[in-house]
Amino acid sequence: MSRRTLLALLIAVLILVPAGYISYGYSQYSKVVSVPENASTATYVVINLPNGSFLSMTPREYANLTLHGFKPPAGSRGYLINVTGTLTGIPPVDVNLTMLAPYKRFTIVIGSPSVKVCSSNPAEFIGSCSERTAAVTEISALTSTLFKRYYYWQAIKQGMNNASAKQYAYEQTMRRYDIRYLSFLTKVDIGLGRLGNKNHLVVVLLGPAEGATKNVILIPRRGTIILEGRSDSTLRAEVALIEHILNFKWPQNTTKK
Amino acid sequence: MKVKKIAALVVGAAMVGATIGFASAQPTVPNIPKGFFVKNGQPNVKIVVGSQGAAMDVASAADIAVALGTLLYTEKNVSVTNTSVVVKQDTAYNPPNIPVFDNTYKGNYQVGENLANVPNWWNGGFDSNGNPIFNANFSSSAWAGGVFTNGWNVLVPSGIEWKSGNYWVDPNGNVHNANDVYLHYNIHIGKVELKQIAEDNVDFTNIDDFNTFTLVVDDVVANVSFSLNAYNASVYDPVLGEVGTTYTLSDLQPSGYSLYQSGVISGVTVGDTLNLFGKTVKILDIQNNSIEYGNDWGATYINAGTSKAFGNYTVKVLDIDVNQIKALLEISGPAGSWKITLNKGQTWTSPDNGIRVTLDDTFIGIGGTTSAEVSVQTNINYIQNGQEFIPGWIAEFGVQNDKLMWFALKNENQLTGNEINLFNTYIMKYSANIMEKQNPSNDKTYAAMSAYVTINPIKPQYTTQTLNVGDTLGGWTIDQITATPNPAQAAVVSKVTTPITVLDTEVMKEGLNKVDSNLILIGGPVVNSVTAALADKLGIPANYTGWKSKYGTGASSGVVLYKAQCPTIGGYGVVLVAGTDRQGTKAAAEALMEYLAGLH
Repeated sequence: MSRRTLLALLIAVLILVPAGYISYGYSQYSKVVSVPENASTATYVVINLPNGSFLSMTPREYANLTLHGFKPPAGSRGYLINVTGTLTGIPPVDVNLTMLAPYKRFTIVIGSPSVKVCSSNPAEFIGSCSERTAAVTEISALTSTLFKRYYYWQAIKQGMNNASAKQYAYEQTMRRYDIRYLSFLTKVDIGLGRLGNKNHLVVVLLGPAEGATKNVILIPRRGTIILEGRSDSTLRAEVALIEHILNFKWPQNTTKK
Repeated sequence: MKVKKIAALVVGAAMVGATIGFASAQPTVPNIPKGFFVKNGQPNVKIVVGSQGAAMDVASAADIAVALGTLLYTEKNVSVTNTSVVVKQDTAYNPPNIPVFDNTYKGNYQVGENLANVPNWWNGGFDSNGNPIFNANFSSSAWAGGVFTNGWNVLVPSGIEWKSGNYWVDPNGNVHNANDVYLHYNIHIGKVELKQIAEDNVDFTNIDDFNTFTLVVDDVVANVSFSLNAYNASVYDPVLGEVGTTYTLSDLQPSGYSLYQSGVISGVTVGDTLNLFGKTVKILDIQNNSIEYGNDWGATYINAGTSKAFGNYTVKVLDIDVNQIKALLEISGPAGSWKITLNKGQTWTSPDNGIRVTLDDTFIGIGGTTSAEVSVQTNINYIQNGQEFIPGWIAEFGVQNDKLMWFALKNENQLTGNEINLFNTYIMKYSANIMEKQNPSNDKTYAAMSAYVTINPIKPQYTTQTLNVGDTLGGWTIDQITATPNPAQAAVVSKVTTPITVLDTEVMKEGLNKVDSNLILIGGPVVNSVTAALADKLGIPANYTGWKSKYGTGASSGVVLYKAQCPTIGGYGVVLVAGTDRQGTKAAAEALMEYLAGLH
């Protein structure tokens, strides 16, 4: 074999193979975020009340409520959101399995790099910077609250006291999370399954800036949850719907200081 | 190899540069108490996101949310499987009242009966056993001259809580734990004076003059002995007769038991915790004339560069010299911040006595992390023999073999008033029930009166009991437990999710007076309308030009402000995280995140 052939082979191995791997990953990304035909879907009505709280229910429950005389207060905004899962056949169970499972890391993908314009010129952002920020903030707080529980329990099991276990859980969480934009490499990582697997939870937010066409919470595989909304306020409603499905409540009637 | 070394150096230099840059640009975070963010593990705060179309760093908001999320320990709603009701009863001990006067007729009066022979009492007389007896005239009564000097003794059961590691093994080999016991205490009230009678300012023919009296109380002592006795009782079998002996630990003799051995557990030691007349006292040290108490956090490990919170105080380990076993610590608290160097075994106490830190040891972990083992005590206070323990009440105590054997409170000065507060536990008050009637035959008005000096608990002490269907309460049986919800309303309530994140417009629409939690405001007044509405109270410029001129631009424009109580939002607190631009907001967010890390 000539030296040229060897060199060509070497180039193929060193450049073309990784490039192929990357392009394979990128091509897989669009498959991950698209709704599979055989997936199970549950539909919810989510109403954003004027005070910032959300009312989530199935269309049948909504119909029953209206029969009992319920009317959303003036200024409310309603959303019809699908929850689609491929894990168990029961979408709300998929949401529980995905959000409540223990992970080694988690990543919140807050949107395409165009989200960065929110910090310089929000008028250029396709969508609402404030609604996107609220959605990102809520899902981040929720995910970290759930994520750190396993490290807290682990510490308690190892004999740490309550305060030390909380400190341990905090430290572990802070070194195990990532906030990322939906860049080319992020898409590759999702496509290759390096983000979004049984060890690494990924939450992806896709709004109008990312070309979203549906209102759907999609769980295409273990450790991956895609929030797609035709508006950024829908993304916020989807986070509230996840909290509803998890039966998760931030306690109310808080006290001063 | 050379290229690798150069690359490593470049990366290293970049890291150092980044660290220095970050440290120099990071805004200062004021001392924000943990309770602002979290109370009892539950969120005490809402994140208010600005929506006014100006710069908003989404990633920074997410970082803050992640850090905040790690602080919160919420509990899922417990699903109801069995319905039950919880009933409560005020079980605070109500001491007997001191009788003053009673001439109300208790018998079935028959015409011609001589009331002088009726075995009622009045004029507050007592026999040698302390029982009220008849006294024909006031001057020979216990209240002669309006002053009661017989002394009134009250035994308050289960009044003092004592937590310790004590236990006793009985002759049967059974272990009796005394980890958390409640001891009785005795109150002796030496003198009670009805001031107006003592000063001869009472018209004895006018019953209205007996309606109220000012009390003058003195020589009050409340004392507790820290001692538990062993009591025993025979165990009987209905067929075999006496088959053995059972033992119990108590400060008072239980019914059916005899004293087996007194003082089997005796004396409070360092490490024990007492609830003394409403004050929780964890004993740190016992001297003959002084008891040191406070919050003992024990020994804990802190890695270099990290910090740990101890109540209102934070201990940060800045540097560790493992060879010389010394550590440089930064200690922050409400009274200030101190940098100290401690050698092994050395102890430092803050000037306000708020925190005491001892360096126990230093270590290098397997991963190369250095850590310091420190023992921490906070909120250090002293009980001095003969000095005030609670306002108006002097502490006296006895110490034997480094153990606190007894503790007493004495009133500092004579207590005067219509209501007398006894060591924040009981209220003494004169109380009269006067009945008047006109005699139709002679138009004269006759009166009868029962009067006491009452001693009532200030606060109710509720004991709760959970009852299920089939349980009995006061002769009644719980047959069923019903609830009648409004279907639509109940369904709506169960389906409402209230996020921790709200938009400024939502807060403003509801009204600032409706705010029901502390607020973290993301973004300055240009971004966030809530920040703009509170700008005056927060002392910040209300527009971009003013902000830029006050704080500049870039990372150094980042600001974290804290206001503990903001009257505009019902007294709740505010933390503002803002910057003139993205770098400023990001720097402020990073500073707040680092601060949150130290709150654990």
